[in-house]
Amino acid sequence: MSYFITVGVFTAITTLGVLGTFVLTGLTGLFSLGQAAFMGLGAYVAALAVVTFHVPFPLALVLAVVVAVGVGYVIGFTTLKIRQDFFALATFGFGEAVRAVMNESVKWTGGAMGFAGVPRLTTPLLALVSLVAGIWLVRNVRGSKFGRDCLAVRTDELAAEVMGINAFDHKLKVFLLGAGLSAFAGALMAFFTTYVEPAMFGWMQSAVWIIMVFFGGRDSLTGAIVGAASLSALPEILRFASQWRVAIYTLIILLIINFRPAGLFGRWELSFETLGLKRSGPGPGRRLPGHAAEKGGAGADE
Amino acid sequence: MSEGQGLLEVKSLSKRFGGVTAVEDFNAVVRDNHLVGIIGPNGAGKTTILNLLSGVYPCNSGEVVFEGRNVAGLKSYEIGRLGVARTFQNIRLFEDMNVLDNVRTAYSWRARYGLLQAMVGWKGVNIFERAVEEKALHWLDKVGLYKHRHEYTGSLPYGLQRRVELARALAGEPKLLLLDEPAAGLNPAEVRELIEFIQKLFDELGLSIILIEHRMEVVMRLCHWIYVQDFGRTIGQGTPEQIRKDPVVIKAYLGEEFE
Repeated sequence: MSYFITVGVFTAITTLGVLGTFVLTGLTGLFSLGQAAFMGLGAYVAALAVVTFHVPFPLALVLAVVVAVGVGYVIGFTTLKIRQDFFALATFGFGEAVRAVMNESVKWTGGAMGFAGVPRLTTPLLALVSLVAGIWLVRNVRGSKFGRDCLAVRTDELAAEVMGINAFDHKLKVFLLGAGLSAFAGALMAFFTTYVEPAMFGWMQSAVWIIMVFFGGRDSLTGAIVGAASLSALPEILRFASQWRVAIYTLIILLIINFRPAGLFGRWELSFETLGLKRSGPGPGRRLPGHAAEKGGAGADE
Repeated sequence: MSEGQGLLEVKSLSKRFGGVTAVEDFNAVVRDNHLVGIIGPNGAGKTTILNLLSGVYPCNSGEVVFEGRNVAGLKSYEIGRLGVARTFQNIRLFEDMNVLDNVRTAYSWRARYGLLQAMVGWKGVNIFERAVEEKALHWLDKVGLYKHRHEYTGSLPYGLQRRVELARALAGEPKLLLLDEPAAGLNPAEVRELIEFIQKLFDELGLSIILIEHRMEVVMRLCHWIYVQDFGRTIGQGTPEQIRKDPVVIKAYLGEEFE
């Protein structure tokens, strides 16, 4: 497999994992320092299932998501009621606990030596299709009442609750969606790199994902994808700069945070409308039938 | 007044914050299609009463009977779903969203689709969203914000923000609307406009309103029945005419300046 395809697949899988952080942080404003642990969970569950228990690959992918969502439910149910900053701490603890379990259960996971001998079953096509499907799911959720309600909860939880929105329920659902996405990415990752080790899924990784989301803009799906894809490919692209690449990477992030605090893309979304390829359909620009409000007849405005 | 079974019946409601009693033994009745006012100086516990009624705080004791059911102790989203909507003294809009989306949040809990259906773009999602948009636009038109529907609420002037909040509260078609100082920060012309607007809403929609206000002219012109609060206690109640003449009320609150 050529170098570029390898980097491409790696980037696609990472981007899918970062989508998990994007839905959580972008929609509810919560920070999870254990998001990468869900990726690790997915990777190990799928790898164990196939290598040790001879479960077919597609089923192992499903299993990875199911286990991550199950674990996510327990973690989310117990921690999402506490304050936002404590939630970040709690997920930090969760992530490190998951890593400790992977490290210590040597018999099953190979411990710190890593889990080797995973067959390479993730094809570039599978990675690409998964990423597109993931983007499609997230886009649909953001366009539905969930996207709106979560944003309402993020902005003003009290006001959202008064409007009949169950904030906890929304946070939990989004947390589970994020866990599922990251776990699926993890499973793909295990079957692409053919080797996983606990060190890949620590809190530093989760923190980097949060940076990627803010880099692109937490209010823009386009931004999150571009942020995740470019920042995960960047270290590879900058390989020629050897020891300078970390400095360059950091500088780019600092510049963005400083000069575009809302992220590279702000609220901008790539779509047929924003590219001017399609006239905006229902919604913007449409007249309300039977009302003359647009002609300035709204009265009270003046 | 208290003999009739009302839409809302508050029975000896009390709330303490540490050693401070914010509301003590508050009793009130709001009948169908009734406009009730609560007045009192700063710190009289008026906003606390609204917070108790809308479930923002739990009460220490007492009952809030809404449509024959005690709702004290319910979460605020549960009370909201029963048909109690409110606005806030210091406007609480969803500033990261445009005007239209703010109003649309009022319908969310009624949606007949879940997260999984939303994820796969089930066609019912679209149908529901279209219907909601139609309704939300209707309310925006009613408060004269139709042309601002795509603007972010954070960038709107104060007076318009108040109206967005009102549209958002009304959009859920509540049976009881709680207005927390709707005239705060408005100039005299806007206040007169607001009075007319509330009167119009009230006449058209047939809902009940509890209005907390600082400005006498608003309460006196709109309300059918007024409760006067001072230091957490009710020191008087009656029609605007009675309140105007009540010596206790005049001493505690209205003072010399008011007739």
